[in-house]
Amino acid sequence: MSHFLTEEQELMRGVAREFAQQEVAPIAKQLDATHEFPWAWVKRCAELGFMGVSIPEEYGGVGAGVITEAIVIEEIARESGSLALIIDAHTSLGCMPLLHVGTEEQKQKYLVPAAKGEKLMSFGLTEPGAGSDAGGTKTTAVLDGDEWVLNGSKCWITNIGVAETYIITAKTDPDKGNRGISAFIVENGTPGFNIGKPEEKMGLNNSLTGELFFNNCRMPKENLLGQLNKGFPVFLQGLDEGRIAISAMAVGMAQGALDRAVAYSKERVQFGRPICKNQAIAFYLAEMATKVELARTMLYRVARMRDEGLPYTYEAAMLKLYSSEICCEVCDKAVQIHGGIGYSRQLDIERFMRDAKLLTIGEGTSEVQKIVISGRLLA
Amino acid sequence: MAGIWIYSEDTIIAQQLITLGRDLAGQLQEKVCVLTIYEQEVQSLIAAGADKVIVLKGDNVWPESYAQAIAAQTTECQPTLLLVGGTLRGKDLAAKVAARLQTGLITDAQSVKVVGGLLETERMIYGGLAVCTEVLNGMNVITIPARAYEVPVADVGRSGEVVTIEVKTEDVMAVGNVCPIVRQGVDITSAEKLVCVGRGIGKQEDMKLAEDLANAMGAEICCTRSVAEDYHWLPNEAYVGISGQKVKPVIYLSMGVSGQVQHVAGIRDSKLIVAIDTNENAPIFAAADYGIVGDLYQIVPLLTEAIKNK
Amino acid sequence: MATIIACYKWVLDEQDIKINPGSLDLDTSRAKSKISDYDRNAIEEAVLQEEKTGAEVASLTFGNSKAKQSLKDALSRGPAKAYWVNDELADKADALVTANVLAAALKKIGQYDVILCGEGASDTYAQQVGPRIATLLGIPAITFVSEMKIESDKVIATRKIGDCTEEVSVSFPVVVTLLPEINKPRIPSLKQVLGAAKKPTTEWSIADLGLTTEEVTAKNKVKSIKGFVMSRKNVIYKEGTPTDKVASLVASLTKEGVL
Repeated sequence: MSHFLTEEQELMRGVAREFAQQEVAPIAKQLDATHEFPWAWVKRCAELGFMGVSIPEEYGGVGAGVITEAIVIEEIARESGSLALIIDAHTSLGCMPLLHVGTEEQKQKYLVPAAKGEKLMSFGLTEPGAGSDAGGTKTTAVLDGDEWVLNGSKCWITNIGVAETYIITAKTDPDKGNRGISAFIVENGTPGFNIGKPEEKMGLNNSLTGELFFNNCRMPKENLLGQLNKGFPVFLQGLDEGRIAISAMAVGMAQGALDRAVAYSKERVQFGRPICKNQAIAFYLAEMATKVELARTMLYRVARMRDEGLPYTYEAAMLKLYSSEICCEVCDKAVQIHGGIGYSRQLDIERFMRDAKLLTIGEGTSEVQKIVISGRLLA
Repeated sequence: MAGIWIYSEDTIIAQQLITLGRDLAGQLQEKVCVLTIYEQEVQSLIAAGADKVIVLKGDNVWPESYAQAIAAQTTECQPTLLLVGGTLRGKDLAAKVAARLQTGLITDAQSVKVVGGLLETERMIYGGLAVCTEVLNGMNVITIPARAYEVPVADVGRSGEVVTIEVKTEDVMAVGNVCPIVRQGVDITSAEKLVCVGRGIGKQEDMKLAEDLANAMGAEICCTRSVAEDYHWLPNEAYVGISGQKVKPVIYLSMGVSGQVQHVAGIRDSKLIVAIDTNENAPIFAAADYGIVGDLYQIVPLLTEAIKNK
Repeated sequence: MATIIACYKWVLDEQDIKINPGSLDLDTSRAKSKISDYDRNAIEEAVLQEEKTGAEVASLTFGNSKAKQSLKDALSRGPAKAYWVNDELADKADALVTANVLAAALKKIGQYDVILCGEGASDTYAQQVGPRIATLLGIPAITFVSEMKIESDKVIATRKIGDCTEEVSVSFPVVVTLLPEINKPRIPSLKQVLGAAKKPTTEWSIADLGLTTEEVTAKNKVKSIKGFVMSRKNVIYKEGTPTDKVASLVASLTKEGVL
């Protein structure tokens, strides 16, 4: 992969890998068991610049581009899916809309501290009645004098409670369907804005996901993000970007699972020889490695398209579909290769399998990706 | 024909090097000449086998300040070879002498042999992964680790030439506050028997297994680098490896040690290596004379009992 | 303001080196390169001293063309500039040649108050280059240092040499070789990595340094480099109950006379 990566990108990969190996890996299993939010890791990520990799320097970020962001997320996901998701939700979903359509004041007030990692961001799109059918948003925002009044609820939102700033979509024109949705910036602590308890999930236990409730929540009218009723394209763009990040997470997790399976297969002896000497196991590993490499290739290609300003919605959907699906397959097979101990919490590998399952669901289910792909194919 | 020269600021090590020196001197028809900064050690060096002793008399007690003086002597007398005791002080001095003389310097030679009339050395590189054999050209300095050779039996009646030279020392550096490092534990480098603990020991409380076995065997306890530096279950002086201690016990018995190259580099000179580990493929077994593949939590207590009952 | 120069070596990562089981030759084809481990401590110490005393820090290395990658790596760790003696001769250099080249480069740089080196390289671990450089430059060397501080124009260092520690102080200029316990190198931030491209680098070849052929020719000849293999008895008891295996082992060790 490195023939087109620059020296800097390789060095930045080295930074992320060193951090992941030295500071994340040793405690990932124990943190997963406590379900706590990893503030210490997040603080270190902020220090190293991981919370604003692709945000321009003038807004507090590193200005390194989306390929580098993908590299950083991938290296972190090799040791902790939760931390990778925290960064993904914060940067791709939370920061990007601000970067694209925020006013200068909004960028200075919200984007700069977020890119520096001083404050976390969250993106609230999904609702109980609007999952894949994102256009079915029921949260409303009504202008009352100088304030917007928000009513409704959101669910399955990542970084709840730890984020200071939430980008929320709401219906501002009930008659216009998709074209009546706007985006708003809501600060933690705003009266009428309540945060639910974090959901107990299958995996990604250190990432907090849950509900948000808006009960006559009043925000200054300056908190409208982008143009009125033009929120839908904003979040679609955000989802495209998010697809690159979550695919990086998938590639990283798959690589982490693959590495562990390879190591274990060389060590575990049955019938007088390491199990990797059995062609069945060797072939599983070959298939797994091929999948990971292909996913990574597509990841860099799509990231490059994005960096070059080319349209990439179609390719991003393919990328997300493929990388999330193979990640689940690779993690599942990795547990299988480990045999009994793969099922035990003594090792990390079972966590990979639990963590992976979200990837085919969050940020657009595999089915939604196929709608995007087939929609374009059959247009 | 100007001699096999030997120097160490530690007289015992100088005597150990005389064993090698005499061997090489025999093969190359040379004499053994030992340099010392301690006048009072002359007789013991001659008794150990030096044909000649050169005493360098200077005002400074700091051994490192004699580098220039030793280089000057070496330039004047052109010995075939200068063997330096491979203490840290010795390595410091050897490098300075070699630089002044623009000669090669072989650090920590594992062996020095005469092959086809030329000197050949072997030493470890890549953290113990490989052995580098070099053919020496011209005068060379070689540092030899302490205890690589035995001190020769003293021949008290032996006589030799003694030359005392007044030398100027390098006095630029102010050296003070010399404090012995208080050893937290035993000197494992001189232990006859060692039990070594690796990461296979899950908890610090389980160190008792090793302690019981060591007591039954009459052995000291040492460990791998991570047990000392990462877990701090034993002091740094107790870890064996390329960057830690090198040991030469009669028996080294490890439990839960995988046997990475860097660790094995420190146990190479053990007479007998015994390993207990669950992983049949652990590299330690390739480096062992005897071993048991099994769960150390079961094996070690049984072994301790068996030894006690002998 | 002191000038501190941290020397480093660009080495193969020994973890990536494989041994051919038959010939015992080393296979370095898949080996990546890195800044030698203890040299990272040297660069870090230089930067830590700069943060404390406002010194100027540069890095210096002698390597072949592949060492170009090392420049941004080194610069991302804090030095303000990098010097590189780029010559294929580096492949065959021993400590004598390396020290001659680095000393000549330091003379060309002109200003050096404190020269920091790791106590030994992770590939050859010859532990010589630092004190050699000092002798060539006619300046003192403090080796095996576990702690150091700079006070105006003096270095005060604690050496850890086997069974004792000693405190040494001497005025500039001085070479200091460092033990790895002196510090824990920090992970550079992404910004530091990107900032490395903006820092100046100076490249010289050996011809630029005015050395004689003899000074850049290794003294000794490497006859062979072979993977180290211990030939031990390899009698490993795998079958049977734990009691059986223990009994077999005890019997063997008794026969060997060690129990």
